[in-house]
Amino acid sequence: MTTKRFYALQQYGNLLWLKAVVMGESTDPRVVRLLVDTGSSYTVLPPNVLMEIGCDLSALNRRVAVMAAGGMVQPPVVNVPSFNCLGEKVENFSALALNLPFNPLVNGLLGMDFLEHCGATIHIREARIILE
Amino acid sequence: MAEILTLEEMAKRYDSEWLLIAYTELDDNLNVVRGEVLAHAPNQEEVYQALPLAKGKAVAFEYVGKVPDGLAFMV
Repeated sequence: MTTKRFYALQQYGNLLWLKAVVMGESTDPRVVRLLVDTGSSYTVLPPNVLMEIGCDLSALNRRVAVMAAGGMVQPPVVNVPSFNCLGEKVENFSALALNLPFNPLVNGLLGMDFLEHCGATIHIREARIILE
Repeated sequence: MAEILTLEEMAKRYDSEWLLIAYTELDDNLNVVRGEVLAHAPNQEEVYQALPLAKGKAVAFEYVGKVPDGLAFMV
């Protein structure tokens, strides 16, 4: 028997967002607001928060070219020790360190990398995500 | 002594601002129920600068206020 889990999303207009917890090796939880974005390959988190939990954002990090609405950017790919969202905790999760010009609304994006990992089904009208 | 507020009380006091909250209680969806406001500012960047205040504490970022009418978002 397959067990379904339901997670309520928050809405602003036709946008959906939720909360996630990021943690370093020895830091306390940091709860951030993320836009559910099926148009983003990667999950995006703010550089300040990543540095504060001890992530390395040095020039040695792998970078990816991102074609965004504002043009091409090359943010670093950062190894997040612990990323927890939708009841799924992933250790050593790869996310992009990038500030979004979304003040006010969210701190970052929940991208297809995590949504695919969870096998998420997004129910837009009911503003919820179903995991099976 | 830290002043513990509910999220509703924070929203009234800091309308339309970003908050850095040392929370004492979250609900099942990771929303802050109550906690101490460590920093508040109209923009995210200023709140991020206050992160050193969060050392040793579990914190959450919240925006309390309505998104301005006519403001749309596109990635």
